[in-house]
Amino acid sequence: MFVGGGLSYGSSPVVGRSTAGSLFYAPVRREVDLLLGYRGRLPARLGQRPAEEQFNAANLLQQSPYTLLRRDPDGQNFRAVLNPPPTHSLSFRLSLGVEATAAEHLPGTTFADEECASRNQRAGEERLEDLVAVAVGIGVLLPDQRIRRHRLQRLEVLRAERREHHPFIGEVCGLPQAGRWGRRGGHTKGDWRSLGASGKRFPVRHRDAGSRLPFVGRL
Amino acid sequence: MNLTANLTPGWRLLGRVSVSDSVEINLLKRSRQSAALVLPLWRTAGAQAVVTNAGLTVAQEIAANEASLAATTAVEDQGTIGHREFEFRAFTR
Repeated sequence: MFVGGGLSYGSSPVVGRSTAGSLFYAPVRREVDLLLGYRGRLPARLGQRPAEEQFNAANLLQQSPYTLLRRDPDGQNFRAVLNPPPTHSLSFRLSLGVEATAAEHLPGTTFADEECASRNQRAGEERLEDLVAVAVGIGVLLPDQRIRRHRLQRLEVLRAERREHHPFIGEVCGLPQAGRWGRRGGHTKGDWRSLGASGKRFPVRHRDAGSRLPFVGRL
Repeated sequence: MNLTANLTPGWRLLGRVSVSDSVEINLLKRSRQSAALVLPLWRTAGAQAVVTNAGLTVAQEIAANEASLAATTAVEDQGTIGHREFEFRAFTR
């Protein structure tokens, strides 16, 4: 059995100054990741192969759906990026013949190694919420950020700040249009030109926040 | 500052704390120079109602320019937009 987790904290950054001279600050950033795992062997009738299950929960706090980057002196318009959504994942690893050495289970030697180690252990995982059959099979409603408190917030999005290309070929991050944030892939220039009309209110959803696309909004 | 604690042979705790300061200075040096050259012309009474290619009047362009300048240089000489002075991260497993 092993447990772990991460905690990050960032103080309030200044994001602008009002016409009256007072400074605007963005909220404090706090975020928590957790992992819980069990390493053992399958039953004898299944060959007693080494197996490992690991539950990861990332971005648990999600105190705000977006991070303020800048706020105009009038106090209304602001620039922001959406925060990554909370994610829950359960992964299962089965060794097929080659036993892992003890060294592979030791903690990493540096801070970065530790983070990479936890990420690598999620290889092959699937988000359970996207596998309907799993949820039906085990008869429970899995954690779903879409139905949690604060998971949907309406903001007035005036325009996208810029277009962002994903490092993966063919992926262009979506933009808010027609009442929703687009998904990755398949988006054309026409999609984000449609954002030109200001004053419309678009729902900003956590689940579509992976694009980290800066946008201009109004409080 | 980075701290690593090997609490047990299989339990390691890592922490990182940073305290920093940042101040923006001399922002938009070239833009301010060019704006200083053209603004006197833009501000002439006869130019105010002229509509630019963007569909805005010169008066509106001037207002937009001033608003952009004010937003961009809001904390010049005082700090840096978006800079978090204190950050802390920890990881354990």
